Amino acid sequence: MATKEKRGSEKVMAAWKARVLTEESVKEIAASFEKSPATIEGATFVGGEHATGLSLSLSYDGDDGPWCGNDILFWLKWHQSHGGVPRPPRIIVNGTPFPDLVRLELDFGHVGEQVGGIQDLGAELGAVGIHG
Amino acid sequence: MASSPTGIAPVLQVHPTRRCNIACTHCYSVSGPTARGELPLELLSDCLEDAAGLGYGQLAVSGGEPLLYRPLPGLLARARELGLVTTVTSNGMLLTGRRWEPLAGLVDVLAISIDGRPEEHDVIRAREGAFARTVSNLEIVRSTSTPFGFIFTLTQHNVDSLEFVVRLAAAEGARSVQVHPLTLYGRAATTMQDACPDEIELAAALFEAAMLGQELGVVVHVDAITADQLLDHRAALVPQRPVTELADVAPVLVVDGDGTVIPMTHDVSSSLRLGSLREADLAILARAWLAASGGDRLAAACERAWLELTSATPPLAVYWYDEVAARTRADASVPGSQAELALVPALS
Repeated sequence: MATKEKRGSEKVMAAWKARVLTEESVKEIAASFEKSPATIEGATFVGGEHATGLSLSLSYDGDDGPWCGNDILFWLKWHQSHGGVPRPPRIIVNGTPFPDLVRLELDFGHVGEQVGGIQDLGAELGAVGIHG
Repeated sequence: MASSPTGIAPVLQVHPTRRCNIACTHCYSVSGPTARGELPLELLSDCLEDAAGLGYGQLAVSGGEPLLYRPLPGLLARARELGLVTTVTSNGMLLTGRRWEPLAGLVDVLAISIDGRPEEHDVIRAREGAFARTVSNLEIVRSTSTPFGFIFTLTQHNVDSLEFVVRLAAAEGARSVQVHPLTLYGRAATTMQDACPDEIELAAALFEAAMLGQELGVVVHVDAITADQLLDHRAALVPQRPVTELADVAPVLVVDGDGTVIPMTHDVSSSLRLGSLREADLAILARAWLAASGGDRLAAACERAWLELTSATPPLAVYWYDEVAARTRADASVPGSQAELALVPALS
């Protein structure tokens, strides 16, 4: 049986998913978060030696909370330049209208399902007793 | 002057010959090395004069391979005299200095067909080494400083090659890449039946074009419109009736290799053709066609295409002319719906 030729868009998507993070693109992330008041709670590279994605776990204290919007904007622009499969940011705001703490997880590039989702983040926050 | 849905001056697309050094699988004009015959320069010069009078501002010469049409310099010179912008589409394989030098000063933009990576290009061109030869000839064009761009035929299977083509354009000094969806007409109708890009591939091409154009500084234009553009630009897409000017309803007017004049695109219903330049001048054909409601019928097909596409959730993206052409063919199958074009016998 003849093999059905793949759609071009499927090949584009496969290429995006397989795209290895470049040194330049990782430096851009590092430079951006140097300027951000966020505390980097954790960073996970996906793909080992040929990393395709980076997952960052961030926290913002007190008045720094609104800055997370700037970091999400950077995340969007980074994907415009470098591609990847954007997975929506996971965010938990603790306390309204004046949050004490904001937790944010941002994935850069393609991380697949290998890193935790919002449920894990919620459980983590619950475990340390900071849910409002 | 009327303008097309893309805002470009109405285009007279002339295929002066079907003779070509190669026989591409996606060719919509069944051109090739065994094709014979060409349109006389005098006939085309008269046509240009009429076209300019009808509001057409650009001559686009295609083929066949235009470089095999010996009177090409004369045709381009006449277009220039009439104030028309001139473009030539070539496969680039015959671009020798001897052929190019008489043309260089007469061409505003040279469009060269590049259909993907070397191996893909050669398969579509049905000629091994076609890619290498075309790319090596670009130096000849660069040496005369004539602006040039690439034309990429989009299929269901090759949007992933667009990045290669745009990067090649940036590296070779091409100013633009035009992405033209495959039309299932001519040879393509038999060789590439399953290869017409659907809405997903068209949308992917628009997305890739925007990203790559921004990154590489090359103008990448896709001959497709998004759902939003479809909804927002009804007035530009659907001409008002009664149609009184040919260019209002046919911003692209095709003169085929046998002299047949076709509004909009090759695969419009044959009942909507204006007739043949071998039988009458373009000005006469246009008047007769409008008088016989050809313009209104084509405008009605535009309206029907727009209404059908927007009545439910519109597709992500469409190749508008193909959509209209499909409605004209559906229309032609309905008894009694065809206007009498007594003065203009339709040619098959």
